[in-house]
Amino acid sequence: MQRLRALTMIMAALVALTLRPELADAQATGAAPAAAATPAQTPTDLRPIAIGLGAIAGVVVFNVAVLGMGAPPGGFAYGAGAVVPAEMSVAMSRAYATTAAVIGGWIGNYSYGR
Amino acid sequence: MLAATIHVLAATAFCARVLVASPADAAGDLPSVPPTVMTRLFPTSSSAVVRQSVAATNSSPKASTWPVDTRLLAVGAGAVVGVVAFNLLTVPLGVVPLAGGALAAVPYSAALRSRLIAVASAGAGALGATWLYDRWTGQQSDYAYLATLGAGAVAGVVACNYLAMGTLGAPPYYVGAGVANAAGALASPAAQAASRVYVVGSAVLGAWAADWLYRR
Repeated sequence: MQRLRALTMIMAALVALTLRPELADAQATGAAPAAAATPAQTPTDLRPIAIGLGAIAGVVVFNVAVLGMGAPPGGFAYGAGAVVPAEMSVAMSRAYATTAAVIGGWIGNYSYGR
Repeated sequence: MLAATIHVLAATAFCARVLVASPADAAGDLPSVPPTVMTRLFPTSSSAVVRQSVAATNSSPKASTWPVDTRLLAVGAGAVVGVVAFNLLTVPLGVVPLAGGALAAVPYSAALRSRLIAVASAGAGALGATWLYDRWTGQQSDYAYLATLGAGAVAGVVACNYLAMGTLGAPPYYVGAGVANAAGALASPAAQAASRVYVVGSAVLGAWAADWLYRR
């Protein structure tokens, strides 16, 4: 349960940073956040981050909504000696595949933009 | 194994740099640039400042002669390498790391179905996140282009499913679907890991094809 809570807090922080690009930029530069930052004033485009997090969130939300808490990785819903059903293991696989692909895509995008 | 993965990642970064350094990209200015992923994402960003911002983000594809947007190529290649690297790095943790127990056998129908669900739910989430980002920043993305990429990714997965098993792996999907379909051919644990690469690879190929069609 503690792991789940920590994971939730980390994801919430990432989403908050993604949705507040001016705050993320301010943290990166040490400057105060602009009162009314416009897209033109945003030096760093966080759109790829938002798209990637959205893709991961889409998979996780579907898994939990349709299959319940047995679907996320971590084994929160299984006791000792349990057998993980097929639909649950492929659901975890989906989350892993999407996350790995998103991270790889970010690396590719970053390498391309340098 | 870790060294091999690092080499694969380095090779991907190198390929991305090669795409950047393409001779066809050497000249030109942003106003004369053909549409790219980033300019498609900012179709209404017409001010000079925004164009400079886009140019900074989209630093290289000036007058590319590649049939597919070079940034999309780099991102797609990175995605495939990412999932391959995940499979290599998590071998000691089993087919599905941190699953919480022994894995039941997976029918092919459930695996194929899962690929469709993965690409559809990830695509929906990505589109939703883009919409939220646009709302927050006041920008406007080209949703027709994004939807085209998403449709291409779904089509790529469908085509891969059909070519591999002769079936699409259609829903329904529910708790207990694995047991209900257990009479079918069962995928090996290695096939389940490989399925992660198949779904990402086929979705990337589909998105590349969609980009090519969109730019024609």
